[in-house]
Amino acid sequence: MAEQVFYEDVEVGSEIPSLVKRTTRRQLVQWAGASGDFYEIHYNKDFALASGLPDVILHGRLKSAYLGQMLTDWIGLEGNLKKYNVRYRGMDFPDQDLTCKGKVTKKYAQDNEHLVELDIWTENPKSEKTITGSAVVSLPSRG
Amino acid sequence: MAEKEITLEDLRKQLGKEGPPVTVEIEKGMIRRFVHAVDDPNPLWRDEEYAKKTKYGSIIAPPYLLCTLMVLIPPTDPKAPPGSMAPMIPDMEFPKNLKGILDGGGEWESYKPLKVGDVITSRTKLANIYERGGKMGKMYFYVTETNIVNHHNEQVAKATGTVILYA
Repeated sequence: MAEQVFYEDVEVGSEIPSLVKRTTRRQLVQWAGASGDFYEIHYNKDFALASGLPDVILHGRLKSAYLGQMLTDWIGLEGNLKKYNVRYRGMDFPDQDLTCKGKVTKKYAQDNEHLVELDIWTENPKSEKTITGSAVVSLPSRG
Repeated sequence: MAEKEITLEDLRKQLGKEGPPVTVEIEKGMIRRFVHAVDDPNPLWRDEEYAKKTKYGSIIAPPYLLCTLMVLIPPTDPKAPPGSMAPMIPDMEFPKNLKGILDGGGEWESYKPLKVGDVITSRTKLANIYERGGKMGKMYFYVTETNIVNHHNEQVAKATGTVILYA
């Protein structure tokens, strides 16, 4: 695990470490099983093609989980992921790189907590944003 | 006689409708299946010995497990559009002749970590319905709010979801 990040280390406008995820078809089946979302467009290519899609597509909530992983990786053991939201803007496909990114938009202390707000998003191989959203985390302070 | 068109006003009469409580126990196996699917190596979700030395004292569920709380149970409503994710509110009215459904997005707010052995109960209510015209025709946005409490009746999380229906 990376070293703990502190509130004082964070600068507004800076990006946090990105996370690249390349989803296998096996993972889509695993996610269907774990989450209970068995909509066939996520693992049955015949069904996906008949639905007018070029291939099976990633579950939106799996992609949201990837953004969650990026955030929990970054905040470390002493941080808390308090809130995040997503808007699904585009489809993503297996066997392609999906890059999760985040950029700090605001930092402030409130109710004895050191809070950081971020814009978060995913990018497909064409650098198009397929999810946009935002997050609020708390970080430990050196103070 | 042609079937009467369902108007947005008709659909909005169901706002505030609440589904039955849905109870799920957070178990190690469940957490393992999620983190394997995500391929998330963080030992806090996986390694009891590691987790014991942290402030949590044991394995916890990753916060993104919340993302799926609305789909942890199978769809119960036969009227739900094809491919619909579990509508936790039974007998919901939908527009007629739907062509498809998409997950529009969501928001998840955590107040307490989800620990192994926690028994969490969620209740979902229909918070809003609105429509918009788009390139693909009419779109209906169904917004749900889910409130999640643990077995000590403490609020652990809140979730909002938006499902888009194409007519």
